[in-house]
Amino acid sequence: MLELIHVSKSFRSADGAVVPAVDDISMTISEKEFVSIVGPSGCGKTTLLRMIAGLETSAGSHIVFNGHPVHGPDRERGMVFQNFALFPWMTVEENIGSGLRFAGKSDAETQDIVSRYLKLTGLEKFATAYPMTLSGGMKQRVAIARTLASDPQIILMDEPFGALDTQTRSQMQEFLADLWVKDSKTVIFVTHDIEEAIFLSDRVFLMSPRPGQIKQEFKIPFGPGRNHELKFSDEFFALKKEIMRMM
Amino acid sequence: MRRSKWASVGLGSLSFAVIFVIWSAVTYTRFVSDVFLPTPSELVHGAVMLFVQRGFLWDIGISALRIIIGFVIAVMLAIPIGIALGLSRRASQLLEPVVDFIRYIPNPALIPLFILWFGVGETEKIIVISQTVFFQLVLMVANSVSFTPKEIIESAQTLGATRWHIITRVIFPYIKPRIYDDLRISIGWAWTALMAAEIVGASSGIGLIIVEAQRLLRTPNVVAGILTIGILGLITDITMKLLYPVFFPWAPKLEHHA
Ligand SMILES: Nc1ncnc2c1ncn2[C@@H]1O[C@H](COP(=O)(O)OP(=O)(O)O)[C@@H](O)[C@H]1O
Ligand SMILES: [Mg+2]
Repeated sequence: MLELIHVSKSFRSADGAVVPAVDDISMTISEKEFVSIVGPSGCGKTTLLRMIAGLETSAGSHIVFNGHPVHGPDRERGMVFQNFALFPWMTVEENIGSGLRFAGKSDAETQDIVSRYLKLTGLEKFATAYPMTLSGGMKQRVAIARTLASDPQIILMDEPFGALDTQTRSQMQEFLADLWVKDSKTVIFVTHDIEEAIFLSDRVFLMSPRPGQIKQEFKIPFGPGRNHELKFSDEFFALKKEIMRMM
Repeated sequence: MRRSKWASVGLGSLSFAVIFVIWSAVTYTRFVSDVFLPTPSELVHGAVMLFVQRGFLWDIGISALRIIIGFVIAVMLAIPIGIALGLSRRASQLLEPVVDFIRYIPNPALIPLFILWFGVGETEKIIVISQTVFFQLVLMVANSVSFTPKEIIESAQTLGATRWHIITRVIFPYIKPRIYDDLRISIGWAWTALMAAEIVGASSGIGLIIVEAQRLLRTPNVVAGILTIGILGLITDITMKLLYPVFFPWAPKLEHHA
């Protein structure tokens, strides 16, 4: 369980002014829940995710994970970065296995887990390719596989499909929905695409810009095993309209 | 890509060809006296005599060996210390002014002192090289550390990397191509330092051959010695550039500076 208790963060801009990025956000996320955070660009989504990861801290904010306060980054809270942040000197399989290496896992065990995720993400043919030779969609799959393979308890994803074309994006959404059914994890998913948020999540939090606060929370009633047909249902459409109206 | 590569090789050869033509013109006509500059054929003859009579190959080997030993020592010290400087603001505040100060002292000015301390033997030669290369390289390595993108470090942290992992398995591999390029450049300084040391006092080496020939007014041998250094430098440089994509197939082409 992840608890955010009065989480705030402000930055100092170049001219010395204080810019609030996240303002007094509290929420509780249970185990194996898939939660999305939507909101316009600049409303503080990345900052919030980075705070959960432990990459950003702020006095007076409390983030408690399974009873322990979060002080810095660690492998319990894996993060998929907006622009992948792959290790360019490692091949696809080395990238996927990097978290296991950091954890001191044996060659055999690493090999085993890596080949499982290569298969799961359809990257077997590219196992020995370097990131610079891959397309955006493939890089994104490597980044996701790398985070999954290190077996975190929470996966934080920052607009992971933002840079992809519409078709790849739909494929990746279905891929993630599918993966979540097979390999259930707590996921916090940041996006500015409402449809994507509804399609993937159990709950959607809508953030308002400046200062970044949670404006409203929506429960998504659809069960697991979703496919793109869902996007054409009346129920889906009604939800989308409701959230859009709040923005 | 390939076209422009051949174009650059062509232009590079052209400048050598022009120099060769002018050189031949001014020497064969005796426009410039052979005491100052030999003709190409005198130069070739001088070079052959150097190898055959003077055992020049031995001196080249000695000089190269000094470079290699001095260079390896400098690199083994400069990489870890440079990374430490690049990582720690306090360490760099502490040491950078000293490093800069020493770096700005022209190498030949230090040689007399090194001779007082270590004599004119191999120790002195190697220390002259190591010292020069170390103080140049250490700041380049420190600077390279700052090129590691913050995101790559952060993604390693969320994958469970410790601080030691970040240094040895993230920052170091990431900056390796840059360090490699820094090494390529600093080999030039190693030669500069060694020539100064060998000209001031040595019983072997390319530098000795050059001063010896100069004292005997054997200009072809002087020029042959100088050209030998240039050729060795060029071969090293080209080899290192060609090996770059072999060592770092994952890296984008570096804009080779210098
Ligand atoms: N490191 C930083 N320094 C200064 N301002 C920042 C920094 N990071 C984010 N901000 C500011 O905080 C606000 C929220 O940014 P961010 O969390 O990236 O928003 P989002 O991800 O929703 O687009 C923006 O106004 C942004 O300019
Ligand atoms: Mg963002």
